[in-house]
Amino acid sequence: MRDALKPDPVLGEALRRLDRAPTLTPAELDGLVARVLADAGPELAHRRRGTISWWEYTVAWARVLFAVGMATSLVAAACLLWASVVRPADLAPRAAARTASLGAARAADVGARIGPDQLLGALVLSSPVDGGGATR
Amino acid sequence: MNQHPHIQPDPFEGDAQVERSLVERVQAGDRSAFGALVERHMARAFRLAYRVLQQREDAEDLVQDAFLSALQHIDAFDARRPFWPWLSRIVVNRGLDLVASRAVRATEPLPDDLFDRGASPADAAERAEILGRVRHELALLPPRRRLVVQLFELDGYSVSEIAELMETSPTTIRWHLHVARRDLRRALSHLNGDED
Repeated sequence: MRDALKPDPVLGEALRRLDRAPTLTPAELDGLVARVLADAGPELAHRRRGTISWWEYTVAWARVLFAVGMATSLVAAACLLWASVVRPADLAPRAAARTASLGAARAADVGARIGPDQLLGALVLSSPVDGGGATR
Repeated sequence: MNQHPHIQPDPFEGDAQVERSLVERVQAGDRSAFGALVERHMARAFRLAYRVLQQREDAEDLVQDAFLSALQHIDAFDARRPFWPWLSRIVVNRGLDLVASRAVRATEPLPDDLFDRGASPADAAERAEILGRVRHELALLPPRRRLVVQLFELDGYSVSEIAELMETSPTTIRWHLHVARRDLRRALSHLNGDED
């Protein structure tokens, strides 16, 4: 569809007289097509293979991999910082002391209620009658 | 006088299905399909490249470069759309970039058949002078504006087609056309019997 604006016949004729746009012969067109096809060979072959090499894959994913790497580093750094502030060494002695005192208190309680022979049997059998001390 | 076939906007419009199939095959690396696609559009692409660069050898290089670029980016192209507008945009954009980087103007000599052979020597000389002035004005136009007026006046493109080709608005194209026509008509005024 043409727009409302029409070509100017006088101007068009003058431009046509000055125009030197070459019209290619069929042989020249074929030559140009052959040139394009020759240059396009590698790209077309690459498309037919349908696979990409490891470095093309790496290049394609480089931005994503960089972002993921940076995010992982930040998370790891945060974890390390947290671990240095709240040290397991601060928690471990208190937990061990609490466990040891509970065990000693339990053994003393059981020892006071039964004789030495029964105490050995109770420790080996860990009877629920004893209050589940061996399972606590 | 040179004969220039009127360039139809898209002679393959009715072949949309065929072209779509060709593009899809090219996307899969089919050499013969790419050859068929290049053959279809080579003549028009070359003419357009020549319009932009005004040099045959440069136009050949540009059209070759444009087809290869189209191939490299064919995955981004929607095969349901016509191929020519996309290709022509590549040709024009790359061509205008090249012109801008070189900052050259056409300096080819005037054609031998510039004036009618039947005219008297005086008339012929006058016409040659006027056409020389038009040619000078044409060469002075910015490349983009010169391309607009040539596509419209010589190659039969409509304003909207040129706007699509140059990725701008029809209003901008009309403005380019208005200014270019005004300058060229001024140079032509003697030919019409007017005085400056």
